[in-house]
Amino acid sequence: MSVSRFLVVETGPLALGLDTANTPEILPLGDCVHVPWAPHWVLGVVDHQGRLVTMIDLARFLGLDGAQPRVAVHLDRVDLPLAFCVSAVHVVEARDAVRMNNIEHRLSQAGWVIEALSTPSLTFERLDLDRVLAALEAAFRGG
Amino acid sequence: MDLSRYRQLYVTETQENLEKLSRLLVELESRPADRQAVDSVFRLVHSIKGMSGTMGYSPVFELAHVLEDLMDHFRRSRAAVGSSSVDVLLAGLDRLGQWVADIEAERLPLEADDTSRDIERRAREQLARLQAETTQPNLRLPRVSGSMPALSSGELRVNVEIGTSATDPAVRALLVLRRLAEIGEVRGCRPEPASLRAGRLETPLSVTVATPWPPQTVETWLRLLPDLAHVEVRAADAQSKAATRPETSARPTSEDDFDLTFSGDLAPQPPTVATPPPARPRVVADDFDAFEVVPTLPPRSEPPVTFGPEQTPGTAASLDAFILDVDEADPAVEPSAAGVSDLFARSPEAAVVRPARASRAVRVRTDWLDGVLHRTADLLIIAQRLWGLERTRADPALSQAVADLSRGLDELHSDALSVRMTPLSVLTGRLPRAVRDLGRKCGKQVTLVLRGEDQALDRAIIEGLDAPLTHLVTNAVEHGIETPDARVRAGKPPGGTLTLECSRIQDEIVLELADDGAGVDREKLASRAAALGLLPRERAFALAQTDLVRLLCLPGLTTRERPGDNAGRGVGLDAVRESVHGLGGLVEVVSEQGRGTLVRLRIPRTAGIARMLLVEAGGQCWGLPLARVTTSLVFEATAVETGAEGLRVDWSGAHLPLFDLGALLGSRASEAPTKAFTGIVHASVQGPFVVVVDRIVGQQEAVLRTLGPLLECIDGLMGVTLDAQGVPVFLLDLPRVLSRPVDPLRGTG
Repeated sequence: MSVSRFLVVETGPLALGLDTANTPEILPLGDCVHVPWAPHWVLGVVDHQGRLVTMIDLARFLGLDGAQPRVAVHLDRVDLPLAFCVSAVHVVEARDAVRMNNIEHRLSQAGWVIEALSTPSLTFERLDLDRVLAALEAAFRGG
Repeated sequence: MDLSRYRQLYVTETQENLEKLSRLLVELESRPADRQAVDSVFRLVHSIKGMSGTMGYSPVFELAHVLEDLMDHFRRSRAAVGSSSVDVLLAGLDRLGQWVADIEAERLPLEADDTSRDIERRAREQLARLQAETTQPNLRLPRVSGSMPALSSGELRVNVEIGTSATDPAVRALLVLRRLAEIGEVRGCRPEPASLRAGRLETPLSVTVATPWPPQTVETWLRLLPDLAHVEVRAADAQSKAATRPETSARPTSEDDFDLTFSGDLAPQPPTVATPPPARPRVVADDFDAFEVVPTLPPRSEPPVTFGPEQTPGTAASLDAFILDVDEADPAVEPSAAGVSDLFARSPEAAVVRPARASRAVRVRTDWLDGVLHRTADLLIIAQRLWGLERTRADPALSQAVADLSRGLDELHSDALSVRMTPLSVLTGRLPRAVRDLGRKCGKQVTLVLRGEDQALDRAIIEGLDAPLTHLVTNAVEHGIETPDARVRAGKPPGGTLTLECSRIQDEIVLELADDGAGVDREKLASRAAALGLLPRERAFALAQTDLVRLLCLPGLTTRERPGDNAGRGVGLDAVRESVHGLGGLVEVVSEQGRGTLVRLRIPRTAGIARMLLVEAGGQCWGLPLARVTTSLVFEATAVETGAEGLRVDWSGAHLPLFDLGALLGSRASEAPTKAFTGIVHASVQGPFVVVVDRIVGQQEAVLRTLGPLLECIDGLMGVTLDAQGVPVFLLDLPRVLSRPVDPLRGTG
């Protein structure tokens, strides 16, 4: 495992780990501007430091019954400026996480999960962010 | 040396040259004796050959060489360029273009194929035939590679007066000098080459050259060069030698040495030449062109970048000497034609970075320019927000600072936009060839007239216009202009005229494509629409009289019984309209049966800035392109009619379709109906319509930002900007909104 820490987001019943290299900022979930004709999991857009960031309700995108999102995790990707809106966020040191074998993945889209990890206080599934984003983009395009 | 870093430069430059060539050849076909065009064609082909040789693209080099030989014949013989030669040359250009595309896509190595070999064969046969026909002696001097042959040569004294018409007499003199260096050893020169290079030519040029060729041959040969008022060549006797040598002291120094690599074939038959011209063109150093690498000039102290099969590191001439290399193979070409934009400057044995001419123009990647523009636009938007904040504080110093910042950013943005402005000629450059080929294919005579090609448009607009314009031109040639017989029967000249005119009206560019062809047969069109079930018969006939564009834009409508290769498949004007619409423009069509058709495109000059009408609907602010807003109106509920096709409202006697913007957008429902509604009359190619808004906020000229990869998938959004509070405001494309299919899941149409 090459990353030094994970950002673990709580969305609905799941805890999902994101490599911190991809998640530099946590944004307050302010007023989003409605985007007409966008998929239902798009909460809207905000201007963040001169860039238009699309706010994605991660729980809805994953098809989960989620709690109301309260915070947005901004993925600093030049090609795809967006933020995942989730219930809560934790930072986990990679050295504290242990790989879990023989665990049943709770995320139905198993191909999006790299591995399951556990710390004394938290068990989470580490997301393959590239795959997730590719699926998200395809969904946006109606693919 | 790794040449791959020059690949894109090569591709860009060669594509530009091919495009120019294509256009010139078509012009040449109609004016076969245009010497300037002949010279230009030769120079461009030569340039392609040289660049390709330098890059090691042998098949391109070899084909270009054959084409160059053919053009060289026309240039030297001053014969008219016939259509059959133009055909061969155009076929050659096509093949070269395919290879350049391969190079761009890195489909390497390139290989000659049957097509290229066939073109080469045709060109050689053409050349042989032309040479046999010509009565003028072949005065081309030998292209012999290698050192100067041992000859029993005598010295000739060459006196040349440069004509007053020469734009740069000193450079012209240098070219004469270089020519003489090709056929012998230059032993004296007055004025000195250094003086010529400095642009000084105060006396006639006087050169002493040792050469095996008789004075008459050399004189005749020199007389072929342009801009020479007087040429005199005679044997230098002992007395004159004595008189000349001391006074000139001008045997070129090592720094002034010319490349004495001979190339060519001296004819008429030279008496003592031992080395025959090579049977097949050979890549020799003399044929190489050198890169002028503008953005990354090395310091002068660095050694010149050299490469090439016959290079010798120590023999690279000084950088200054390369001013001689304006065009060693083509003195007929003005030196300025090479210019700073010419990436490749010629050098006898080396590719050399030329510092002297590199500072006035640079080539930059267009995506980099786009980035600059977008970042500038972002800054401008931030400045707009600062304006909003500044108004809340009474601080004169802050106000002044924000005003200065805004002004500076406005200028910066304007500069960034202007850098992206591109002349329309970039787009229209290929049209003469396309019209020529298509006309031939259809058996029609078509003259294309281009006007206003120098109008500049944003590069993004230019790119977006490519396909629509090509389609319209194709359509006009295939369907608009009649065959010569039909035209004569209709009392018209056998050849039709297609005119493309570009003009600017404020911030709009108006492109008009007019043909003097048959025009639209409205009855036939309406009948066809009805027969195809696209419209009820009555409605089709009504539209044919009142709204031709709408009828022509019906998907799948064509009056052709059988589609052509390029048009007539019913995927025409509706696709054009879509494309133009996407650019924020409109399409208009005027047609008169028997007299012709005019298609007018009205498009914004720049992408990225929009004049918007800001309206509020569903609790959110939205922008509408002001150019499409006809007017606003206030009406009462009693003015609304309910019919089978939805709501309508009366406006100046017209019953316009009526929509609620809030409902269309799927935002919160519009505010509770009041006694009066505010409506916006909006233009579209389908006809005007009215949208009801909560209120009109005002007008704004806004810098648009791109929507990004996700939101740009959404039909109906044209762009986004920020209001003074930094809140995103979407610019809406209402006609597209109305054409969206109803999506019950998303709750909006």
